[in-house]
Amino acid sequence: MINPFEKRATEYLRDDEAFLAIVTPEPLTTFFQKPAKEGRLYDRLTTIIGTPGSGKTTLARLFQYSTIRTLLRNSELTTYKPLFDTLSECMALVDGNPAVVGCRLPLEAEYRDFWEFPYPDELKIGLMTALIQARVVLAWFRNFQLGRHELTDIEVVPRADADAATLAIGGIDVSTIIEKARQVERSIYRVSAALIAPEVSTIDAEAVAAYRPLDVIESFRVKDGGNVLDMRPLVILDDAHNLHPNQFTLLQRWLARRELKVARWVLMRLDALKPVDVLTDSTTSDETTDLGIQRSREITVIWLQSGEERGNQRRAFRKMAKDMANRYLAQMDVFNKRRLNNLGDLLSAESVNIPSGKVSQLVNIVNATQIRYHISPDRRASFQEEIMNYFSGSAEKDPPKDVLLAMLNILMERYSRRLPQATLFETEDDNPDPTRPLKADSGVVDGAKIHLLHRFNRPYYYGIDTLCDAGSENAEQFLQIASRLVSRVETQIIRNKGASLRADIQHSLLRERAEEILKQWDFPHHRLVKRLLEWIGKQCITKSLEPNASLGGGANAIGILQEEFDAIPEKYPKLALVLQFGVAYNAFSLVPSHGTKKQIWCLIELGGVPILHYGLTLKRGGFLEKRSHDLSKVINEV
Amino acid sequence: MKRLIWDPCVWHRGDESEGFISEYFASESRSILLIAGAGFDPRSALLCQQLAAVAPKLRAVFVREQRPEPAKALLERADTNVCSLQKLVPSHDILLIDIFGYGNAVVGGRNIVREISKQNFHGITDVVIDVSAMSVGTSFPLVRYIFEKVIQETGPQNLHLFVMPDAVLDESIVPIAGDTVGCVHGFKGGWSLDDTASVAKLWLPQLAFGRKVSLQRIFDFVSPHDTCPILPFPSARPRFGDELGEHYLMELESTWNVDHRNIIYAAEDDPLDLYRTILRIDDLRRPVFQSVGGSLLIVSPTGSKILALGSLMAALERNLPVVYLESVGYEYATPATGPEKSAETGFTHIWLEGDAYLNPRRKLIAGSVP
Repeated sequence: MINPFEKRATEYLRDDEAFLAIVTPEPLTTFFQKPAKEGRLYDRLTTIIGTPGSGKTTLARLFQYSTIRTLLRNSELTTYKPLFDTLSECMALVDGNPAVVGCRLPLEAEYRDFWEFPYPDELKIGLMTALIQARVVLAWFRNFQLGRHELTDIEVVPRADADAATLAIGGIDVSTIIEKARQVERSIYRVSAALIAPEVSTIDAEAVAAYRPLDVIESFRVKDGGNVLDMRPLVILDDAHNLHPNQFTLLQRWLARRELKVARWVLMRLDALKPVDVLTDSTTSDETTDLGIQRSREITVIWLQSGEERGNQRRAFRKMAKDMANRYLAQMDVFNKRRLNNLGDLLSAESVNIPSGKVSQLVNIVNATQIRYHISPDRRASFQEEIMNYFSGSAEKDPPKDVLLAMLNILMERYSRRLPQATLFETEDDNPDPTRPLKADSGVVDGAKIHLLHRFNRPYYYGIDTLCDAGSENAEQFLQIASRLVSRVETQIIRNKGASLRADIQHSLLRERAEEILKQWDFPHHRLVKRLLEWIGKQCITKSLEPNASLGGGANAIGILQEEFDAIPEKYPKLALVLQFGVAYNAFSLVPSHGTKKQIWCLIELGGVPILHYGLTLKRGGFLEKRSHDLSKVINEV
Repeated sequence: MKRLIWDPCVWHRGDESEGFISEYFASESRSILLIAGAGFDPRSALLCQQLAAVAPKLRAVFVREQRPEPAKALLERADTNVCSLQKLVPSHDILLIDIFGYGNAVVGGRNIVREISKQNFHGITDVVIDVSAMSVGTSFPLVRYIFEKVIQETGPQNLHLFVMPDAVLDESIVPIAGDTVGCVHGFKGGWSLDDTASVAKLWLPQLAFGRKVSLQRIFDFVSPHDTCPILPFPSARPRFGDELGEHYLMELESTWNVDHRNIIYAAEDDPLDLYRTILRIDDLRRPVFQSVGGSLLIVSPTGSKILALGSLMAALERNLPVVYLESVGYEYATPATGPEKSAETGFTHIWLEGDAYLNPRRKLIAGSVP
């Protein structure tokens, strides 16, 4: 039976209607609405950066003209309403009509090949941009045709001051423009596909340079029934990470020119950036770049994951992931027939406690702690009261016994570390007050649950929010992790064993899946990434299992002073590369400029999959202080 | 159905190929250029040993594929192999081919063609390419380059391909997937042209253990309308095909959505079986899809080298795109059966073009290969 969670269904569905039925508008709201409202989305170069699987291509497809036309044809269906509204908020639709004609062009490895030709840089970039432009023109008209327009209904509006350049693209007659684009594409393709690059003298460089449709075309005027629509062309260059860095820089410079009227977006993966950019998040800075342009003014940069507003991003991702999961569930007959359309409802949030035999063991441990630190029965009772007070004010009114005991143990451990120093003249007091008052809070609860996970294998990872957080704000990873849970629920339903998945089953399935994903990792430098993860993971476990749970739920990151971290690309280039690929493939995420203890840190936080694997908390903030050379040693760079 | 260029085809395997090597290449009239991989693969020196023993005029070009940060053990193995190759053929060149350029860009195919084009083919009657220890990204462009030289009569008269089949060894060499999927250099086959924008794409991946991630990325890149996975059958291990099918169950059922009737079984030890099958599929699809944008077959050879040769021949004949994911490195666990065992099975030899065929055939090829 087909499980759509096993693949990114949005990327494999050819039919636009089917695609629109399962795509969620949440990322548009999160990432595009603000720049669109500020007028920064279509009037200048927009760079969209994300990890693999973060949904870049899905976003690009939403803005393709053919997709928008499909949406408009079905706009009366309630399923499409949220998408329609969101695209309107992103200014892709104005008054219910399309305002942009988008086309997506993947910059595959063949564009990178131009950089290997034995030609001058100017000719290499000229060949590449001419090929891009020819294909963009063909893609626009293909989109018009898919959008059910006759080519005779389309008028190309050129810039007023571009007569010669207009002639070079084939004038303003649509069929001539298409024919010219095909000619240019074929002639450049012959160069790029040749086994041995042809001699420079055989290439008509002038003809290549004169072909500049992106400079010429200002808008498209299209007859649509009784209306005439004026639309801004939009070119979406996907997968720009395939280009050589210098080639990418030149392409950016070419696209960032203000005289272009065409909207242009460049989508790329994190690792396309130089390590310094990935590691230091410098593309958002206000500095003047090596392109000779001021980034913040002339380029709009959209990070699909970033260190900014992380709390909000996590909330937004949860919303998006739940919506996406529910849409995917609707594709599966077993769920659809039974109207089970909410994944959250199928994942039980009811905890599974440790068996009574193990509770007795836990009681013994707590009693031993009490004896070890000479804690009076009254003091113990006050801790228990403190714990109950905490729960009386929380949503969880009936806390499980094992958690209560583990919390009590943590409070007693903390108490022992907060006793005033004994002096020679001290009077005997069997119940001294701690130097700082002890408090039961969510950190102690989380710490207790992590302790129980490692000591008694008590289920820790369950519920829809945990599942979303384990996705590390990456749609593909979320689906990969969720797929096993969905398959198990499906099996339960078929076997009439109820639709709700118990917490312990969720927990084991998630951890098994995480281990499987880690085993399957196969990307450049994945071995060193794993070595680094192992090192960080083990230290985080040790920290998380401290008896007093000093970091609450524990650590899931290491922190390096920001200043020291910024020097990594220069001082430890191999480490920079390993971190770069680790970030790109969701092994880690970076949290720059994290202020703690009056210092600024950069946190290297484990991704959701390693966190599940090592049994760490998904709550953020707990980290271990380290130095960059510690990391470098781990990968044998020093 | 179109006439197939390699039907009939002169080819040998096992003892037949041993006999062919000792008789044909021993002739005084043969001036041979051997092009072989000089890597860690234990098969690197086997053909060279046999040729050096019989061929009176033998020159060699040893191709050393260089990937970033190779494992020390593999590097040592490669050094040992290079030393023995150098001793076997005193008249030789060693080509150091960088497979990756800056930023992990795949440049191996371009580099090998550029370097090989600098070689002097004057007086060479036979070029022998041993693909046993070469990757697809290097061997395919190399074969195409020499093949085009032969059919354009601007180079040697004869082109021979040799491979030492060893499914167990192929399996024990596990590649570490790179990052960029693309067409093998020289095998674009119209991929990405506007003319092929609306064709019905059929993807023919050759399944192998340890290639799940690579094949999934290739699938994402190709985004085919249909998939026909290739499984080895008949095979020395009768259940090998089934085991592979089981290994890829999730992909076949869910991700690639493969109808079980679409599975292609190709004889593990016969490259021509797969070659003929691919061309038959192509012939059957072309008229069906002609009126709706056309049909395009995309091959992805991974795993068995013998089957890869079948894909290579089909791609050469029909100008099919060959899509692959270059490996950034390899892991090699010495299999229970060493190269000595491989030597027992003998080479597979394909006489790709030359004196064995009638002259008009050469013209036929020139007209077919774009």
